[in-house]
Amino acid sequence: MPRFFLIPLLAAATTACGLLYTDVKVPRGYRSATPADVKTAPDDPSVTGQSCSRSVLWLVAWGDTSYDKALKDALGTRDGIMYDVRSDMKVNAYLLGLYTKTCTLLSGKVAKP
Amino acid sequence: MRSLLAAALAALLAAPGHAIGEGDEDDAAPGLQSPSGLVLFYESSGPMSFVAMTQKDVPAGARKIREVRGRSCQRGLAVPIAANFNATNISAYRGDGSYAKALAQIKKDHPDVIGIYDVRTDAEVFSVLGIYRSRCTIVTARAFARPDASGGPASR
Repeated sequence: MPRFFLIPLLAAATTACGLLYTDVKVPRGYRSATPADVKTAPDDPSVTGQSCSRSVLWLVAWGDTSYDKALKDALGTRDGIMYDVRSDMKVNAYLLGLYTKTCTLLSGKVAKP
Repeated sequence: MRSLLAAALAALLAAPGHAIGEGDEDDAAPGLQSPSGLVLFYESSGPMSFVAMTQKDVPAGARKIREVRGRSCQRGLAVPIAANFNATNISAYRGDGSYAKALAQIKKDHPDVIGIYDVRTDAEVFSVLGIYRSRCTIVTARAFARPDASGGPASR
């Protein structure tokens, strides 16, 4: 009987997703601009944005950690291009990963398009 | 040992949902679906690398488009051949999840687009019981097009 539980637990621990259901967006690439690529100004605002996904009991995983969502969160209602961008990933996992939250964090400045 | 083997097999049933993408390294990281079990056929394309343009590469006078989006998908089916964790499965994979197809979709939706910049690429991973899986490539970007016939650049 313990083996019955051990197997899915080990399996889930190695995949960072839900065994029963997974619907997540994950970041792949972002060719962000450097200050030389955009029209910068001294008063360009610094912004941060994040996008997160979650998994529970190693069984279900959902959410959106995409670059696109993090960028839209950072820009808000602004129409601009982010430059000098740092992207980080933040993971919160509790009780052997029974609940896990993974976030993509973007920070940088916004230039006019 | 059998438990570990079974765990490894079960792990393959779940779609990998972690981020594997392009970094600064020289090694290419193709985003193909991971095959599992006995593969009947595998006919998929996936994204590998894409050095996109930035705003400085936009030609002067080009008409700018605020956002365009393209999506391309690979799909797979892995059917267990018995109802236990030790069982392997029979699988088949098909689809074009390449950058080329995602960009072709952008071109189809916006025939006037001649280039994209400020590009974000993300992967959408979907899986139910590890039996059905899909992995889609999503390209979101700003775009530029030829100037309007009426004259100067405009954005929408």
